[in-house]
Amino acid sequence: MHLIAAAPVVLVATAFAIPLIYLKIKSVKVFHAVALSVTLTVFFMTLLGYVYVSQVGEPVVYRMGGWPPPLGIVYEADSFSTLLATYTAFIIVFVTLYSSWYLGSDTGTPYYYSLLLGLEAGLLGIYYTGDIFNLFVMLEVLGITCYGLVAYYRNSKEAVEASIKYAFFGALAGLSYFLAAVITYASFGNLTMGLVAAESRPTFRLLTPFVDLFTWGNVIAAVAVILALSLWTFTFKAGIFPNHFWLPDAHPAAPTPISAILSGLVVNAGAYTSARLLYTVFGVYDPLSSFYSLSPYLGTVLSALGAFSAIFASVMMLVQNDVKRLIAYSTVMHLGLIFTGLSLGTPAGVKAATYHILTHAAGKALLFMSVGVAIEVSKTRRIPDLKAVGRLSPVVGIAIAAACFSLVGLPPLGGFFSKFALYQAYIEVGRFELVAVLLASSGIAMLGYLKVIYPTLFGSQTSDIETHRLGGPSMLLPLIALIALLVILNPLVISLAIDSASRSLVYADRYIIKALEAFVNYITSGG
Amino acid sequence: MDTNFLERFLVIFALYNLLATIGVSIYGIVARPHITKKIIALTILGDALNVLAIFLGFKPSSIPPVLLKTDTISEGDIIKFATSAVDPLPQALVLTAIVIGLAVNLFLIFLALQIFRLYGTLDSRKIRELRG
Repeated sequence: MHLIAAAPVVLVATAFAIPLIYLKIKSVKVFHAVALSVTLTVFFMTLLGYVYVSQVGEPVVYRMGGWPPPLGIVYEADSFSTLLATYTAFIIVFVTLYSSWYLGSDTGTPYYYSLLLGLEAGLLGIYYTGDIFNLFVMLEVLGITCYGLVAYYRNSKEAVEASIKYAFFGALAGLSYFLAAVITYASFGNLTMGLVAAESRPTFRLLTPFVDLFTWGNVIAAVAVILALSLWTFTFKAGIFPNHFWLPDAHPAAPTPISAILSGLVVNAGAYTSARLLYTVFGVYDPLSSFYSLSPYLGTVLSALGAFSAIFASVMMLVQNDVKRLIAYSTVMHLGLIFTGLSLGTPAGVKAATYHILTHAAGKALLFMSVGVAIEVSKTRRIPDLKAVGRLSPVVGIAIAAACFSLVGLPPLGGFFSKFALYQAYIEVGRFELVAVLLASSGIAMLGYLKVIYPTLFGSQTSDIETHRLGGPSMLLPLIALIALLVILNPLVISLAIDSASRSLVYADRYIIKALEAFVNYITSGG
Repeated sequence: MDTNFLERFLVIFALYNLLATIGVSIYGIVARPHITKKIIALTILGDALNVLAIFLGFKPSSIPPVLLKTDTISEGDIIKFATSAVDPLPQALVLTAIVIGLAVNLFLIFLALQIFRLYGTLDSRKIRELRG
């Protein structure tokens, strides 16, 4: 599976090549074309990877440089990670197209694309990697590019302040995960996710070469510390209360296409890594794992934090005057719901959370991009001053409405089905308080979204609109594509994909066996 | 006082020293208002964690992880090597972490410079455009 491993490499190589090309070629249009073609290529690479993993029907291990698991870094792609990676690459293609409309002939464009491609490389690396330390590297790649993009308008006080806040605590969170990785190495003797997972399950432990490492120290306490440190990092990345404080500053300060990526895709990396660590690596929710005893504590903490994030953020949405801050708080709310789904520990909960990650990403990217058009023509982010773009451009109007309705959860759109799946997952385990949280936060958030819909669709301010900014395929095509995506995200269409993805996460046996196989094959073939 | 005791004392002393450094640097990050001091504290925290990682691979009276004997290697040689050599992997991890830390620090320092240009101060109590 060279294609999977090549995707981040292609992105990083292009990201470094772009500033060099800029030395010779000064035309900004060239860079729009380069970025679009590279993201499109990477999308097809991830799609082929997804198709391949689906056909094989089990995780695929790619050994970097041919080194086997405990010695070298491996990429281990299963249907969960390839689904998210393909979806991410798909949305980034459209955001890149939208960027070419948004940036126009801005002279910072080459650096913007350089960072954007680095960001995509970090995301894909996070999804594909099968190595705990490589995950740290990829988190930092993602982090540094995000800080840079938030500070893209480097002469704006708001952007620089938001970026230093984000970067400072991001660096601290990165160090926290580094400590967790070091403790993992000290307790398990290796850093490959599949092999750490094998050691966590007594049924697989005899097959690993590291059995005697369990003889000293209390490994359950060590895992509790590892999980505490790494979940702190991941909830920071995902913007879960109390680590959400940077998000409503950083997401609005970035250029609008970047807000769409940060709110729609980057936060998912936090949810993905939490799920991977909890379900696959340590098997906290797996009754056969040595760490099953930690599940009540983690379940309580994560669902409480998720539920509080959802309620708190939906209330905060109501008091915002800045449209981008309002949408940023909506991100905190949805990530809260995703974390409550992940904290249940049941296949239905994971399935619903995965589904909600997909619908939220599409809805949020669409909302930021369509509201971005309104901000662009109104030249302000104050909600009452937004012009009624929906009256002049039906596509933008439909996009704002569709995104809001999907995020609230109205029936024909994807958001309804994912919220319904969450509701069913809560009912299945009898967590009625979470049902109340889901309904209350959606209801309160509905009022927040109406604040956005009203001036942009039904407002009376249509004067002084620069109508030439309201057209153009590079703005309309992404909006139309994501509206279509919200309709396609229907259980009839994607139920099978989400089902196999969540099964691959919850039942980690094949993941472990493939990693062990890669190790044993190396030993038996005599190196 | 034999050398063994001295070595063990030094190892424990270094460990507590590291933990104290981590505590002081977290205090610096949280409590100092000046952004440059916060960045310095963050650097100290990063370095302390790196040394902690090296420390985990260290064994008292150990040898470098290089097997110098190349012609005839017996099983005993390998066992002796495996039990007395330090673990090289944390050192490789730390090398990566140092490079990443360099990038993050450079970026933070650039942002601090930009903040000083825009606000005329680096006192984080006076930089309050955003409410969080």
